[in-house]
Amino acid sequence: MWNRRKEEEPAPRITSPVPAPSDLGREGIPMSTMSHRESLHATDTHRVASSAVIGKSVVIKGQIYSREDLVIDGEVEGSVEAHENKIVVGPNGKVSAGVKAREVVVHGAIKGNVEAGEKIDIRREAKLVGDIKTQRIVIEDGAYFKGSVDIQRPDAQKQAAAAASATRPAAATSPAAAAAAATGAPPASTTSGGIPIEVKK
Amino acid sequence: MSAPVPGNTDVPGAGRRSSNALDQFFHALRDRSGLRILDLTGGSQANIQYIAEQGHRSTQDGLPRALDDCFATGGAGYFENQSDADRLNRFGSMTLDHEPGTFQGVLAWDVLQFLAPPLLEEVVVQLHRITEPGGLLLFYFHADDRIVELPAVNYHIVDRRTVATTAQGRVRPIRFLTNRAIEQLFAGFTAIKFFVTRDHLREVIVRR
Repeated sequence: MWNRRKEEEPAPRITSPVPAPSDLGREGIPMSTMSHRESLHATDTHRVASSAVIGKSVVIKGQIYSREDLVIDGEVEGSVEAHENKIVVGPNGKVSAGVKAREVVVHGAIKGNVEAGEKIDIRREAKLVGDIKTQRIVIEDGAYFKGSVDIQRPDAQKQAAAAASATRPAAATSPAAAAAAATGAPPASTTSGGIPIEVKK
Repeated sequence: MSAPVPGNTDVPGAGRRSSNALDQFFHALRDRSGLRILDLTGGSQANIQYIAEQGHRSTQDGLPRALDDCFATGGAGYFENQSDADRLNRFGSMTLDHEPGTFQGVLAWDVLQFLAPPLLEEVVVQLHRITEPGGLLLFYFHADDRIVELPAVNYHIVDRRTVATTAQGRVRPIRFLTNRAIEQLFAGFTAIKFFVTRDHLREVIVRR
């Protein structure tokens, strides 16, 4: 009985030192305080190793931009964007934010609109309240979803992308763009029809 | 092509059935596209895919899940809890909180038979509010007055005439409604049409 009681005690808090600001500037620092690999779906575990992870005792309020796959098992309030990558909301994850990504997998809870460029996968225990825009949707039976679904056909997306690129012909031929192409560096700013477009470095 | 229907079809409540009302529902909408269809299953991939294939946009609202979350546990009982003010407030915040006249079609399935007055009438009022004039609503009602409870199931559209049900592993008490009671329930709507079936379900289409 006593041994059992000891096992039930909460795990000691991780007391790792606060990372230096220079460390925070680096990409891909895993923010994990848990053994999340065990709690995620088997098909997602291979992604975890190469993903940034927000652990289950982490709370973030603000905007998250990610250029790598992201696993959220904590709480996020604000917005989450990983346009070219995959976002997995783990079983402990609670996201009160708009989510934009190439692919979204939901085991936990999302309250907010979701734009998944390619696919959204809502698993059995998931709870999603918000509107979805995606090309493909997978909902396991038992998942809770409240909101509208806008299925976007790949052709429509291509047309939209083509229309968007057609509106920027001047940018491609502008001196700044030509200089950037020659040097391989992005231009600081360029123009399209006389309207300045800031290009973030 | 329809989406694969999930779940084990060997458990009570699971299976497939032909639905003339479903056929009529989408047949009546066949000449229009871009309509907003509310599906009260609350997350059926098959339904989302079928509705999208018909050129419409689906909205999912998990009213049955809200029923279970708000009224199934604790309190005096499933139907008695539906008179509890706190539980009703929570229920109202979880479901049917859409803008007036949003939908041209509502797939309500069998949810009304799990409601007791006055919540039953209030839900019908809310469905009337959120449906556009002329919009269609599809309902199923159990026709056997000896049955007092039913396995909770989700309805998945297989094709225009076939619906698959998957059991959710719960049982809900039901209230039997006669055809006359159903007519009175929808007295504020324009028209009501009953469909004869070979099993113990009455299928009903109501025009707002």
